[in-house]
Amino acid sequence: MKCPDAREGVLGGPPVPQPDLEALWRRVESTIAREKGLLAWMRSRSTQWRVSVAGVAAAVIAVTLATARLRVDIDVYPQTRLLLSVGSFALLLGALIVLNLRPLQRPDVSTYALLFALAAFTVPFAIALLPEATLAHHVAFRDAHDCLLLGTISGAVLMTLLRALDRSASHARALVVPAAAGGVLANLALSLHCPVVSPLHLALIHAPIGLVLLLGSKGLRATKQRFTRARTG
Amino acid sequence: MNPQILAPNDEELMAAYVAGDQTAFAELFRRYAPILLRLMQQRISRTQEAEDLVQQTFLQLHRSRHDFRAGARLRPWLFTIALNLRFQHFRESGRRRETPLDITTIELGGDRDPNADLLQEWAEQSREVQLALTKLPPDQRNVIILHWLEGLSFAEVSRTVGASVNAVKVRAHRGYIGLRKLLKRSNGNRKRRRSVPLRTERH
Repeated sequence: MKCPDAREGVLGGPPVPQPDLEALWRRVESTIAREKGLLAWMRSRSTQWRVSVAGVAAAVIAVTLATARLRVDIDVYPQTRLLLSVGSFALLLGALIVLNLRPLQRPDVSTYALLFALAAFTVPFAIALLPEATLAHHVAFRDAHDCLLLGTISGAVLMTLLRALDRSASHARALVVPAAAGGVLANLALSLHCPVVSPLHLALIHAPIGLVLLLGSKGLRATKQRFTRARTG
Repeated sequence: MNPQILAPNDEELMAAYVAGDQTAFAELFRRYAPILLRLMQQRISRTQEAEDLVQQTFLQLHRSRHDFRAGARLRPWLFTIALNLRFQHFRESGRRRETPLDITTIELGGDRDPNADLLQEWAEQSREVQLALTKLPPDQRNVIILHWLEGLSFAEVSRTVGASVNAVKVRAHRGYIGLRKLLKRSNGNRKRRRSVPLRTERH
């Protein structure tokens, strides 16, 4: 068999039953006709626009939380340590936003996205378990619920925005990167806001926010699916 | 006048669609739906699933229309979307392998076609090539499908699969060698199969 024959064999070959392209076109048309409203509009913006919106939103959330009440020990807290944690959170956050909103017409990098998400879930714990800053407050769980609530809300806002801007279809794995990004943003904002430096507080309250967001969103998703199944019988 | 001279190319159609011309999208569908279905069916046997993925591909094309830049080529763009969706489909369904559509099992029609033997030969050849393709490692198979069957340049294949041009050329080279060996073997087997009844007739 010669090369062109073989190519013809696959391309122009015998009468394979042709699917009904008319029916498929009608399906495509109706799917696209449903692409209306704010969500569809946001998803159809250019990738540059979507990344900028998510980046600006993350910056606004972090700055709002920080300026609402900047950590009281900012003048005495070790600057290098603050820069290290804020810098690594910001870098991770930027990478996660770009990876989450990567368009499908670019080659798939889901493995890198998962590796970055894994890093985003573990880096806050690593930073929390660094030796305690010398100017430590001798409290571990003061205002713990405030930190958890503020962190979770700010992370959830970014997570929701990232899901809203994501063009790909909704599936279980699509929650991992937005949850990781939400967790990193929460840690970034809290590191500028919360003056408690106890490793216990950081490891048990700040660091797990990403995991809380992931488990919470998976739980919500499962409940929604059960509810939909029950309604449709 | 040759109508093909006046027909807009894919990129012009895409530009028209971005500008709001709905008929341009219909024309893109007409041009690409059969090609994309073939691409999906090379690894997915269920027609419904393959059609769903083609539908998703066009939805993604619609959603990402504002990312399309002047000077870019549509074909590799669309193939990357399709391959990414197919990859996601396998990942989500937890399936690693799928058999392509086996065209030799398809009924050729009620009345016997005068070209039935030719069609049968064609079907056999096609099946052999498809079977040989499934035996290649996935990275080599994708490069060969895009370069040889779908006619993309190495530079376009490299952008589609996310590897350097050199890496793509190496994969293609290895893939073509592998494909040639597999086809030679299956060709030999076919000839042997055919020669058996002839010998029996003589005795």
